[in-house]
Amino acid sequence: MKTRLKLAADWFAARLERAEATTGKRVLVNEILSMQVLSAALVGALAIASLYWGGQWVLQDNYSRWAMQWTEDLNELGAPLYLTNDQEALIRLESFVKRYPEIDRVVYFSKDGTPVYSVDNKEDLGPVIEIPEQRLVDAIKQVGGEEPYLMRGGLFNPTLFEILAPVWTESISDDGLFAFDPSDSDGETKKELIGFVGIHLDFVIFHDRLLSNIRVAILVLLALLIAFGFHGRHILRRALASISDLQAPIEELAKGNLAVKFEPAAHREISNIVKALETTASALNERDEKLVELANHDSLTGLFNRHRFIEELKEEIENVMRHGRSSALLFIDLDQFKYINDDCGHPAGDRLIRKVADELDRSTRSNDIVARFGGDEFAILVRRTDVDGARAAAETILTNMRRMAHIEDEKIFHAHCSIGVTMLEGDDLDQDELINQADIACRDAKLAGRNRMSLYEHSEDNLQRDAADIGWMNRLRKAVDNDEFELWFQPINRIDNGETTHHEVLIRLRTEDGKLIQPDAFLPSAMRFGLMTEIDFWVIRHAAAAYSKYSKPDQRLRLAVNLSANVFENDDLIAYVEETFNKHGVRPNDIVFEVTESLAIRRPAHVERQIAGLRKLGYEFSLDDFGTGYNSFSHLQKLHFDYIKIDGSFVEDLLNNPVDQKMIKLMAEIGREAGMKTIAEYVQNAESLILLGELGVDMAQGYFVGRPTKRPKPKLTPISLSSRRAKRNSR
Amino acid sequence: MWGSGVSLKQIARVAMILAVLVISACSTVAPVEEPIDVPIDIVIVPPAPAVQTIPPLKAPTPAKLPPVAIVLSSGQPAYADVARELMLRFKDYSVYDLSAGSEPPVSVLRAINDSDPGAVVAIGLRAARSSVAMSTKPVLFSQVFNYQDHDLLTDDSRGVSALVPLEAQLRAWQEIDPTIARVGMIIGEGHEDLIAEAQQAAERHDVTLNIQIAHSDQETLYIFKRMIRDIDGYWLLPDNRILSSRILKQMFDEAKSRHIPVIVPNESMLKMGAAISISTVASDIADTIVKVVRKIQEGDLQQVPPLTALSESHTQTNEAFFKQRSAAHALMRDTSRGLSQ
Repeated sequence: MKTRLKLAADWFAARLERAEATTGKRVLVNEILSMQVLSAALVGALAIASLYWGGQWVLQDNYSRWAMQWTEDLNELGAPLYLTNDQEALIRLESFVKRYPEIDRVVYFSKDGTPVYSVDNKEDLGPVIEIPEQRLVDAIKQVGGEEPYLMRGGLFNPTLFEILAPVWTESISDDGLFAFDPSDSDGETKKELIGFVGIHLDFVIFHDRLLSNIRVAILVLLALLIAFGFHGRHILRRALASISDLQAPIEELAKGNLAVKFEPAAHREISNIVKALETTASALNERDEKLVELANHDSLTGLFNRHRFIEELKEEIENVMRHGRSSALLFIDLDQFKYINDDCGHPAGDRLIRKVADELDRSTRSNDIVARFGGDEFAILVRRTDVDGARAAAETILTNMRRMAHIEDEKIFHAHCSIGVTMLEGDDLDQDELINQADIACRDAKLAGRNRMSLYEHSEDNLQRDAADIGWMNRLRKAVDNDEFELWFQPINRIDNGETTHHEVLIRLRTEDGKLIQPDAFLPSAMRFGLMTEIDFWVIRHAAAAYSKYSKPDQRLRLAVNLSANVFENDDLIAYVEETFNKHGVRPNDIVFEVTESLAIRRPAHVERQIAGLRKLGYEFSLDDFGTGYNSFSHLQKLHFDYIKIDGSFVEDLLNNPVDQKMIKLMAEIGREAGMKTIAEYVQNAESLILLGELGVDMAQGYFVGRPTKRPKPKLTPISLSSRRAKRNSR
Repeated sequence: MWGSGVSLKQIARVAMILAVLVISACSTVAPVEEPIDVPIDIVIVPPAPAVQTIPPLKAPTPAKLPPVAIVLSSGQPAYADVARELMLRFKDYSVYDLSAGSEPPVSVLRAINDSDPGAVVAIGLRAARSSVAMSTKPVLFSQVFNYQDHDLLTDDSRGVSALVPLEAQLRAWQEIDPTIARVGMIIGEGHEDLIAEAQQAAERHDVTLNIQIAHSDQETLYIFKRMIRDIDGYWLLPDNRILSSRILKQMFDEAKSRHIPVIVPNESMLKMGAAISISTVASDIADTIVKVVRKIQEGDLQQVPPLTALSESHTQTNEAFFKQRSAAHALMRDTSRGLSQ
């Protein structure tokens, strides 16, 4: 039995393990079923235990009653005690005892406990012994009592019972029964002890029967448990089917199929879950659509963005190549948009952009695509048109734009534009080439005087320019992918003591013949081809690596990292910076991010959030090219910069230009008032350095201070104010 | 005889005797010691010659009863009722209840002796024992069954039977239950006279009587359970030495289950399941006592038999028992008829 149980338990356990191994997860049905079966088994075990003990109690009770009845019968049959020479009585006594196999032995004792007569129902019971004295005394006390016997045996010795009962005679005291009243149980009665009867009982038969029944009950219980297990499993599966049915649609949902349908559930609880899932899918769908919307549209104007436009362009290219028709790509750049921004502020510039977008949309056919490429650049895909149609479309736009007047701060602005047109025709078309062609044509329009259109012509020059632009795009892409950029480090020193406070991180690209290319040469292309953010992230990664490589315990290394306007468009900037710098163990207050003034005032609210987020992490900020933009002062305090870098244009001719001196002095004072340190760029000589110090500038950067190097090297400035003062004082 | 000069006085005496005899003949209870039909010497007196009407003679006034001391074992009804009857008959009496007060029997008997009664009437065993042991006067005991155990019969003491005569009992039983043919009885030792009386009564009434001697209640029950299979009725005598409440209950239960009637001397036992109770009558006991006291008064104590029989009885039946037995017998008859068909 035990072996079978163990085998069954092992089989169940193995099945369970296999199920878990298959899925790596516990099976709900099995768990619930296991708990239920366990509970049922526990209850069953308790029931059987109760049955056993209850049965024992009942048996004990029955044993007692039987014993008492037999005691009474044997008391009556106690011929040896009060009848003399009555053999018939003895025969009767023996036949009585033989009738009950549970009676092992009956012994009659005289008053002093000496055995008088005994009847054995079994062999080998041993000799009959006298009643021990104490037991005799106890038995005598039972004379006339309600339970006139002594019983030995019990729950822990269920089969053996021993009873010792006194035998006594009674007689009514009342002579002649004249006062006898049957209802008067307290009437005078004389009692006389005449002996004892002892009975040895063995109820092993009943006990064995009970155990046998218990065994049967256990088997029945096991069978029921097994049946319950199988049936219960089936029931549970059915009950949990509605949950299981959710698995497939949830998996679909997880895969991104937001159009998945959920079957209505029969149960309220599951129905609530289904509702929640449907709501989630719907919300995800909406968010997806919004994200798609955001991914494909410009948030300011609602027009397609560059990414989406290029997709449309690719598709149109295929159509053109397949069907042999032609379409046109128009690249539109607003003329002098910067001045409107500078004059009225960037919110005004945004309003103008939206107006231009609306106008362009109105100026085109419904099946044409209008997109905003960024800043003040737009692109239009004119489908199914020839050169004349393209020209006409461009002219229409120019005319409408000329007519369009934008009023801002009671001023009227006219937003003219330059349009570059290229045709989509032929077999070998590439979207980047086309954009480049349109861009080149647009630049030609601007060079020709703006407010006009220019059609791209496939000339040798244009091809070269095109190739150059495409070449740059490919080159930059390759440089990002293959880590071909280089980082150089230029020190920035304090003017007062000449010590290096930090190094600006400068990006360089090396040509195939080993020449270093300055950022001015490739960053505009990077911006044009949308690679700026990747380059920014590249710089962040490698600056962090350089920090961990060149930091020494006794020499603090601080770096200034340039961030472009494009990277602030990326909502993952803060997370990326934190993760990358943490990975390399960069201390936040060892990093200064340099941002240009034009970025800082372009989208102040957004930039403010990004900067605040990075500052909260402990990073510092430096405002680059300070003094070159409009309305920069009013935004300085809002954006909380730690440094302002005075544009090199103010320093270049400092010694000879008092206006520049005044400007620098003013900027230094502003910086001090605003709690910012000032850094002067483009310091080429000692005199400039000294003068900058006298004007109140805190730090200097330039060839005189230190040239860019491949690794950060703190360098003491050759001459400092303190030494200068010391020299003066010494004279 | 007439010529020899019979006197009027003699005639009157004879007439008185005749009257007494006639009255005696009217009694329904035979004396204890003699069979019921006691041969009575009846003298046939020839009719008197026609003479002048002689006015009837006045009966001689019985002699005044002597003062008696009535000693009760206790105030229970079996004793008190007899005492009450005695008080109605004796003009001069004193009653002593041994259960009342704190005086021991010896003090009471001393007082009795001092009072010099004509006789001491002891009612109940305790009174009889004390009186027989300590009284200086003749003692007449009643309501004592096991008198022989206590040596109550002496030269100066006599007794009145505690039971209705057995023959009268059996007769009454047969009148109520004519089916009685086999009767069982268990009694303790020392009642040989009673056993003889019972046997005689049984013989007279053509009843087979099975009498067994027992020495304890256990033995009584043992014998009873074996006897009951072979009897139609059980005659319970009030021998308290061999009876106990526990076995009486068992005996009555056993008898009831077998529809065997049990005759008892005590009405209270009808509640236990007895079929018929035949008990003594207090007035009859008192009358018998008076008779014996007269004899004692006449100085005729030695002529008085040791135990004087009673004359009357009071019979009560347990109707429920007989109804159940009838129904059971009817069922048995129907069953056996059905089986035989």
